[in-house]
Amino acid sequence: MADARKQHELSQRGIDWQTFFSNSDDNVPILGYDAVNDQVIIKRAADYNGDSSIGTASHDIFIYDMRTGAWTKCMNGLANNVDVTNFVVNGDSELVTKASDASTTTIYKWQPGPIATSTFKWRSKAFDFNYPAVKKKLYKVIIHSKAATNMDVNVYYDDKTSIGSAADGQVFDKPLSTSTSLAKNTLTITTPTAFSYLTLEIASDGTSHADFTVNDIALVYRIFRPH
Amino acid sequence: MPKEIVHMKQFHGGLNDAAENSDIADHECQIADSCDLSSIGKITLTGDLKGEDTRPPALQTINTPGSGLFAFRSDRDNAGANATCNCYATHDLNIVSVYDDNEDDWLAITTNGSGAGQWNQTTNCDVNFLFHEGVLRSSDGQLHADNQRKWWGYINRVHFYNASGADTYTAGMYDFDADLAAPTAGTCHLSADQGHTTGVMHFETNITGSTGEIPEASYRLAYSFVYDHHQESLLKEFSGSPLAIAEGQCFTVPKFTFHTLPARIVGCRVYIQRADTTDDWTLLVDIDLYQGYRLGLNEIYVNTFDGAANNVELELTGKNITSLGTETYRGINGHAFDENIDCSYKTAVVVDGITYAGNFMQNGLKYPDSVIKCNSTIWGIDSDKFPESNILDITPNDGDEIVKLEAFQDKVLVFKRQTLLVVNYSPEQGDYIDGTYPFMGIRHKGHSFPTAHGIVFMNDLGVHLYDGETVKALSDRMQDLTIPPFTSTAGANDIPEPEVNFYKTPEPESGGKKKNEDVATSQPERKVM
Repeated sequence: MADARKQHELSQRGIDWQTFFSNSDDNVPILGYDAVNDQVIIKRAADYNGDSSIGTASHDIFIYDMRTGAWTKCMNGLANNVDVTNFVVNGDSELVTKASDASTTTIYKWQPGPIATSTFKWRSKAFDFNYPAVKKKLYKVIIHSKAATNMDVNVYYDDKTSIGSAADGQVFDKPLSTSTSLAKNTLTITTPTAFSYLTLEIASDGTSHADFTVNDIALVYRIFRPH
Repeated sequence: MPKEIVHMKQFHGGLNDAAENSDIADHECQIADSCDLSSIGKITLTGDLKGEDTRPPALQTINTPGSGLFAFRSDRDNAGANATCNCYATHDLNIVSVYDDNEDDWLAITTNGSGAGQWNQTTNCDVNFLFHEGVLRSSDGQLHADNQRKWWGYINRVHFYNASGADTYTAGMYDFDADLAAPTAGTCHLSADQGHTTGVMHFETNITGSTGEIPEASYRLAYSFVYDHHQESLLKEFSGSPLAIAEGQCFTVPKFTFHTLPARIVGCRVYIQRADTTDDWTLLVDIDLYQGYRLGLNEIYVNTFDGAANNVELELTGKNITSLGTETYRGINGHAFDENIDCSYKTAVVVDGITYAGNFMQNGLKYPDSVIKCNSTIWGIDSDKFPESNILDITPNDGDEIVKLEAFQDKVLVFKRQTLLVVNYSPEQGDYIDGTYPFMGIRHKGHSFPTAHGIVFMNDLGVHLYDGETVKALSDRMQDLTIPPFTSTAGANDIPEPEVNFYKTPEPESGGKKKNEDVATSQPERKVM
C-alpha cells in the first residue's frame, strides 16, 4: 500500500492486531456492522473457551468508526461466558448475535453508547512537547467534563503506568465534577516533578454515569532549559 | 521559561497501541477502553453487546461458534399469514427453526430422521441460509448426503383444477427438499390405463391410427416435474418405454393419470426421443397441474382434468399428437438432460437474482475450491438448479478452500482461505475475474460482513475494506516521515518554540483516514502564562 501513497508517508499498524487476532482458529473472532452508527464491530471470540487463556477478554470488542477512522475498544462487551454465533443485522437494523451457555440462549444486540460502565479507560499519547530530551514540569491539568461519577485522573511521567512516588506521577481520586452540566475541573499537581514524557489517563473507579463526557483537556507546564 | 498551556480538544484519532507511545498522533491515544471517540471534540462512553432482543423465546444451543444465525424480513409469517415481519433462522444440531415477530415463536422446519425430507446427520451441522423469492433455503455446510438442502416457502396451490378430486394445498408455509427431484416412477402403455399411484404420473399413449406424421421408429418416453414456477427436474423414463410407432401412427387422444403429487410441483413435461439415437429429448406435452395441457410452450392450456380424489385423469380429449414439435429439453432448460443439477453448498450469495454457491457437493463429489451458479433461462431464474456445466471455470481449482462468498454491487467476492477473488459478469464475457488479492483470504465465514461502504473482512494482516474497486487496510495508520526525527536545543538560551503543528488534526480521506495533516482551524491553543 505504501507505494500508492505520498513518498513521505509510511503505512504502519494502528492497532495491535496480532495480539487481538491470535489463536483465531480457536477463538473464532467475528465481525459485524452497526448500520445505524456506521461502525464495524469485531468481537474477539465467538468460542469463549476456544483459548481459555484470554478469559473474559473473549468478550472484548474492537470498534472501527467508518467516518473518523478511529479504533476504540469495548471491554467485556457481553455479560457472561457464552458462545455466540455470527453477527447479523436484523430487520430493525440492529446488529445481533445469538449467545448460548449451558442453560439458556439469548439474542443479544449491539446497543450504541453511551452505556454506564466500570471499564472506561482513556490514556493519551506520551507527550514530550516536541523535546524529549528537555525536562518539563506539569503544574495543572484542567478538564472540562460532565457527569464524571467515579472517574479518576492519573498523570504518569516517563511512560509509567502506576504511581509509586511523585516521581512517577500523581493520582487524582475522583476529582471531577459529577454535575451533568459541563464543568471546569482544575487539578493541581502537588509536587511538580521533572519529566521527559507525560501521559494523562482518565479511568473509571466504579460504575460511571452514562453521560460522562470529556470536552477538552489543558495542561499547564513549563519547559526547563538544559544546563 | 514561562509556563505554557496546551489544549487537547480533539480525540477522534482513536486507539493506536501498535506504535511507540510518544510517536502516535496527538489526537490518538494509547488506550481507548469503552470509549466512544466518534464525535469530534469529545470523549464519551461506548455501547456494548448486552442489549437483549427479548422477543424470541430462548431456544437452541450453539453448535458451531461463529456461525448459525440468519436474519431476514418476510411478507409472510410462520403460519403463512400476510404480515410483514422480522425473522430469524438458526439451528440446533440438525433442527432448523425460524422465528418471526408476528407469530412470536420459533417453528422447526426440519426434522431429525432418515425418512424422506428429514435430516439424518445430527452432528457438525453448519447451516448456510439464503432468503430470496420469498423462500428460505438452508444448506448444511458439512455437505452430507443425509442432510439435503431444504426449501421453506409459501404455497397456495390447487392441483387438478376443475376435477371433482382436485387437491387443494391450503395457503401456508411448506418445507421440502430444495433439490428438484425427478420422478421416481411412472408407466407408459400403448392402450391400457395404468391406474393411479401416489407421487407418480402414468401415460396411456394410445399409439394407433394412420394419419400421423411421426417417423416410424422406436421411441423412448420420459417425463419431468416442474417445481414452483419453471424449475424443471431431470427426466425419468417411463416404465414400458420404448414404444414402437409404426408409419402413420400417432398419439390418439392420449391420457395421463394421477393420484397426488407434492405441493411444490406445478406441472409435468413429457418428452420423446428416438431410441436409436442419443438426440436431445423433444417436448411432447406440457402439463400444468392447474391449467391443463398444451403441446408447445407458446400454446394455450386446455383443462380437461377429471375424476375423483386420488383418481384424476387428464385426457387430451379430441386431440391427437400427430407430429413432433421443435422444443427440446436443452432448448427449454439450457442444459443437457443428463447433467447433474442438484448440489449442497457451504456458502452462497445472490447477485442480480443469480445464486452463486461456493465449496459445494454435487453427485457425491465435493468441490471445495470451486464456484457454481444456478440456472437461468428465458423463462426466468432457477434458483434451485445448479447444472454441472455452470461451474465457473474462471475460479482456479487451486486447492485453496472457499470459506465464504459475499456480494457487493454486481460482484461476487470469493473468499478462499488464502486468496480473495472478485468475480464480475458482463453479457459479452460472462463471468470473469475482476481482481485477485493474494493473502486476502479469510479463515472463517464470520470474518467478513457487508457494510454500506463495501465488504469488511479480517485476516492475519488486519482488517480490510473492499469498496468495489480495491482493498483498503482499515487497521493501518500512516506516519508522516517529514516530521523531524529529532530536534536540537542548540544552546541553553535558545530553546526553540514547539512547532506550530504540534497538535495536528487529521483530514478525512475517502475509504480511510489520513493522519498528521495540519488543519489551520484546529491548531492547538498555546499560551504563555
